[in-house]
Amino acid sequence: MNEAILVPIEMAATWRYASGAAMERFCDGLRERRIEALRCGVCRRSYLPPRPICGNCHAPLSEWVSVADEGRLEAWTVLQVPMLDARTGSIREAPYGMGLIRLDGADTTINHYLAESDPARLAIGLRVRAVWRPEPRGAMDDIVHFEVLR
Amino acid sequence: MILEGAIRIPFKYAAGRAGSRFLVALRDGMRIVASRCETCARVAVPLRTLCPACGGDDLAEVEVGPGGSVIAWTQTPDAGSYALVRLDGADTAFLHRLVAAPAGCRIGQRVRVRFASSRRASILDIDGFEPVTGEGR
Repeated sequence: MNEAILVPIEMAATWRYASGAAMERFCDGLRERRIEALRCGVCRRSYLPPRPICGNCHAPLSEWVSVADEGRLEAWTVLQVPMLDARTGSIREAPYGMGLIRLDGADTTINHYLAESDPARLAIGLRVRAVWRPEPRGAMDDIVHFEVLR
Repeated sequence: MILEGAIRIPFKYAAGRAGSRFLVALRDGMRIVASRCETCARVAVPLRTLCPACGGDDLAEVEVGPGGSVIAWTQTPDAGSYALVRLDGADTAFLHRLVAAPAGCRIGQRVRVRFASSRRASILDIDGFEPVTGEGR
């Protein structure tokens, strides 16, 4: 049998896109470590990240509300295989925790990294808090990950 | 506000039976191997398991190059240059970098493969084509 060769390839792509008005205000807030959600005037549901139209009643949203950088862990998993980090485009080494987090003041969850990667130390209902990068730049990864409050 | 996105997708693919032989020959012998079809006599480079011209599977392994003639060449916006070269002994064109100043490059220009000093069974075991001066045709 001849030697079998594997050819390594790396495809790279970068792109730019318009944030929209709601995400622009949200990202401007992150730069000051401020998290803001958009609340529906009809059903009172607070959306985080903000969206321009209510998913329940289709009403246009314009009422901004402050949300804490602490919240409740609604779901979690620990990844065991290296995966692409959608925010940087590069591989994130396993294991690492991910969670759906409902911040105090929001009715929706956001998907983010967890500082904890030990399944024995993770549970639905835990209180978590955002760990911010030292100099926020106005993007979702201004939050590095969420740490569990014990 | 304009946001930015990025993705890098690393992966590996199997070069296959003929592709592996081709790459190993580059790495170990600095040889460029091609297939000569015993049915239609066409010589295709890199090495194949089936003749791309007639589909025949009765192929002999032959060596081509390292000299060749430029069929076409182009310059990219980042100032890299690429050439399609018909290697001596081959009937197909081979695409690779032009490594020397292409200012005077022309169709029919004689070139020669320059091999990389460090080789790892990759198409980049060839640095590219460099012009040959003072060689008649």
